[in-house]
Amino acid sequence: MPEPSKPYFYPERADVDSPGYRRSFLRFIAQRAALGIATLWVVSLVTFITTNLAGIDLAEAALGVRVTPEQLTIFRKQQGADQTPVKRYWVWLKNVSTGDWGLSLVGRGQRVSDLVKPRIGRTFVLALFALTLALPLALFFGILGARNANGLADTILSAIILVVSTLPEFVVALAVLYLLGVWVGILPPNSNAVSYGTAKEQVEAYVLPALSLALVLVPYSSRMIRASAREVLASPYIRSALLRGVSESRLLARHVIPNILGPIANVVALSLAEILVGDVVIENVFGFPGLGQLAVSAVNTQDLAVVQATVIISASSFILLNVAADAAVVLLNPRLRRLGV
Amino acid sequence: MVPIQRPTPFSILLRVARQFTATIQGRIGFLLIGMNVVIFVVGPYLAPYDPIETGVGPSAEAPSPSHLLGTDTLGRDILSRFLHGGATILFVPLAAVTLAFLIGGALGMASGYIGGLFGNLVARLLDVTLPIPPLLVALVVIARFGGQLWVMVAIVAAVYAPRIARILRAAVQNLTTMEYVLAAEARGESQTAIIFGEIIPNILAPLLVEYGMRLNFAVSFISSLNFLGLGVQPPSSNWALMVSESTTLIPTNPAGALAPMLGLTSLVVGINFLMDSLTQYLSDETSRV
Repeated sequence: MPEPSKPYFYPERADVDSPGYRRSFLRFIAQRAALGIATLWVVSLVTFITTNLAGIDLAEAALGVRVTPEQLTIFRKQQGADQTPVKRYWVWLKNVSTGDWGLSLVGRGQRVSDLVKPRIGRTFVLALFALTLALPLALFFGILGARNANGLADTILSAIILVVSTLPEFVVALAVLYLLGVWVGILPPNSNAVSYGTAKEQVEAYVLPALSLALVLVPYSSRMIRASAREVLASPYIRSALLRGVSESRLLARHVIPNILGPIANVVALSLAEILVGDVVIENVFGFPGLGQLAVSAVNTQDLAVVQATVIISASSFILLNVAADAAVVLLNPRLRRLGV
Repeated sequence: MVPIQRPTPFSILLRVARQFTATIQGRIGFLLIGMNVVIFVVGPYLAPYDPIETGVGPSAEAPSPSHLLGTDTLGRDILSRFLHGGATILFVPLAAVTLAFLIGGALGMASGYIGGLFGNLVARLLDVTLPIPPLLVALVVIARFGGQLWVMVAIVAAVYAPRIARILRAAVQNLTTMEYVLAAEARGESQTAIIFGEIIPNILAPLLVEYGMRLNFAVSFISSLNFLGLGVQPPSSNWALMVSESTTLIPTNPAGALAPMLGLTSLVVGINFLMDSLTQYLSDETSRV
């Protein structure tokens, strides 16, 4: 369940018209980017300290119990485990940031990058699929809710959204699995065909997980779209357009939509970020061979190199998308056109 | 002259509790939570069988008079497991969120009230740690330390503490410029007296909403970890673990398979309804003033 979004940067009207505005929003984006990099650094530090330093002897874990002390020393030297912690962190950071995640302990001698690469693609496609299902629904519900705020449709929608948004992701996914995968039975309840099936089977295998992800996302994103649409609808230029006698469709197309494009782009980026992390649960419900499934099985087998890789990949994309979301709100503000940006 | 009664934390709590149930939504929420708590407390005494004893009945049987919710694949009585397995769903998150409030609350209030270099340092620390997705932290920590109870509690406390600190910091910063706080300072009251007598009573209500929301997230979050098999291990009868174990039972015994899921769902929906009702009351009250 995605948490309610943080409040995003809303330039004040006076702020936009001032000559210093362009500088201030560039500074805002630079700040967000710097914060993102700092956060990523903290993630890398936490990951490294927890998995590399906190007392697990990788050499013993990798070579098993029937190993001579000499072999252990050689292995540690190869892995650089005889260096100081700071030096090891540097080497590790350099390797990780260039995509060299070392060897998997469980899949003997398999390179983590080979293990991870096909799964990144699948998870990414799944996320985009879920987004294309969720976005039109969220737009529809959000604008409908804002148009007759506190009316009957809005009240019913809000109640449904409140209930669905509360449910843990695995409950939503299991409901979808039972209803469509078992009870109706038109789609495969297990998505492992993604990695070996025919083209048709592969496409089918994406549907149920994508639908579940979309269901998790719609409440969250429609609430955000409703909030920003309400704000726009309450603003003076909408009232004056209504008083000028602008038609309903023109009002929506020319005045409302352009003004919520920023918030929508924000929702898209944040949703994508939420999906990339939140799909860990859903991939496991459906046995979808993506990054999230790999992460959980690696945690269960204590395959630390794989855990590091999946966590760092997820965290980087999450943070990148969050920075993009912040930038989108500012860059897509229609008032900026006047400034020639 | 009637002496002016200063609101005590207790009187405020009582007033807030009355407002919880002011709306229909709040009453439904109260009822759902109440039902669950009754199951948690009384359930273990009503259970007809041992929840982890295998072979008390045939394997994977549909409901019958001797096994009202049927049996699972290992021949354990599902009703007994259901009656035993609820408490940890609520009480582990409760402990974790309370710990997060103690840590985050102290940090946030101290940084908001003291301010200065310390306050700024805490604020930067919060900026950097807040965007980290909780699930990723959980994966790393569990990979290293395993999914024992204390690890779960520690993860949730560590992940939520910055979020709570951020809110409390802002609330306290707003309050410290209020006249009644300045008046208390001018009266020469000690900082402890100001924090407990002036600041805490005034942030208690929003604090309670935040507590409820965090509790809800924590219930979902810890259940998800248990569902994924990263937390409590078999043969525990934790509801989330039961859900993941009972997936094969659904065609033959839907009631038994759905029971833990319904229990979990009613609990989170209940908490959410109650908190939504309270939020609504608070925003109404603010707009009246």
